Amino acid sequence: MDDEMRVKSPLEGRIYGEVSGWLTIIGILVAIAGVIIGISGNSIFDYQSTVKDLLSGLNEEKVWEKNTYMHTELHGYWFLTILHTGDGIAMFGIATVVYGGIVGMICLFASMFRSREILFYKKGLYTILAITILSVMLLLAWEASLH
Amino acid sequence: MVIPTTIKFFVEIFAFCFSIGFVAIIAGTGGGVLFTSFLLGFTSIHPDIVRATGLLSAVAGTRMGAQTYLRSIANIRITLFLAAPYTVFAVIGAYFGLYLTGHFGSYGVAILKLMLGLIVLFIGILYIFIKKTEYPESEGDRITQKLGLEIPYYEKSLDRVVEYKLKHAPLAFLICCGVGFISGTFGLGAGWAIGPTINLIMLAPLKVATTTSAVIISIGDTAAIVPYFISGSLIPIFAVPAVMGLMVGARIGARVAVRTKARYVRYILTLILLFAGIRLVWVGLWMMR
Repeated sequence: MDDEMRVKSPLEGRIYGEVSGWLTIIGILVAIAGVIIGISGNSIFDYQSTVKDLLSGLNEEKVWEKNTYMHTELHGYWFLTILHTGDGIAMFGIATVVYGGIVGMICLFASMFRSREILFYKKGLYTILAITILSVMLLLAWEASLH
Repeated sequence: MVIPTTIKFFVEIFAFCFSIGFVAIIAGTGGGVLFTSFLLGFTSIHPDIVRATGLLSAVAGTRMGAQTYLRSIANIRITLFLAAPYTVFAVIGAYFGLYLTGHFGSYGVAILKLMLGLIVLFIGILYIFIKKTEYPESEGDRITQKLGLEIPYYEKSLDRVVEYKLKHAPLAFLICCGVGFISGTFGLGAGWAIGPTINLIMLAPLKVATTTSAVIISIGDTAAIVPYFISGSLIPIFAVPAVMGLMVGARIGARVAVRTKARYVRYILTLILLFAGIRLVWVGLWMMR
């Protein structure tokens, strides 16, 4: 038991695991609820032709264009405007899963600031690596907001 | 009339992905490789949609694992060290994959299937020859020691703290660049490569390797999935039952795995991979013609 306590794993890792793990669970549950609501009728899709088009190999652009009442390919954070529909809720859930990892990385990075010893361990190598990963993630999330 | 077709599709995708998740976890791998290669080899569903869903499944599955692993065994320093190249190259791979199918149309899809087929064949062969080591012996090397990657962990089954020394960190870093690119391009996940890299090249204990590899994938594929998410490749009616099926299958498979001889399941998995790989190469070549 003493040994177990002595080698307690680093806080930044545990924080990333908990934050991203819980957001993933919540996101999946929301997405499931959204799909169920969508199937029961409150949907932007014509599901019957969506399934047919998916199986016939149409690309995502055509699937969105042909089968949603918006008749356009939907980029970025479009689902925020249709959160009253099942598909909007499902996409919000999927977005929570996708971005849960980014929130987890932000929390990991923030937790590195609790001591200079951790922040500057090996001349700050791990802090730089965390910044690199986080920058790539945030850049992509920002790009999505431009669409 | 609309609802039964949709529900049938939902249940079929769920059942198919449940089987994949179940078999894959018993064989000691993630479901990403099987999911992507099977759906691309045996259905007409567009590669962008399959790859996006494959990545979403990989992300969801590994994050659930990461939550537990990071409380005890997984090494956050190895994670950050290898997740950085993996993340950057997975994103480049994702854009490359979207470029291939977007600009070259069905020829791009054919190239993608052909390349994926060759990679899946390689992975299948890799599964035959790889022999994992529980506690590899290592003296470490100068560069790797300077990085201070090691974090000892408490091993319950031995009731002691396991300390280890790592080697070949720069080589593992380079491998993660290539694996990240492949994962992003084909939506494969990367459990087939990162675990063995940490175990057999860096010489970390097997448990550290497998748990840390899951955390690396959970970070790297988070970035790789964003381009697919932006481009609308995640279709809820397909993505949600697929992720649910893979996760529930993996969870139940993990319980059965304790009582099953993983060696035989591994042989079956290898055969399935070789079969799917040959089929993908054939489909790719046929489409090119």
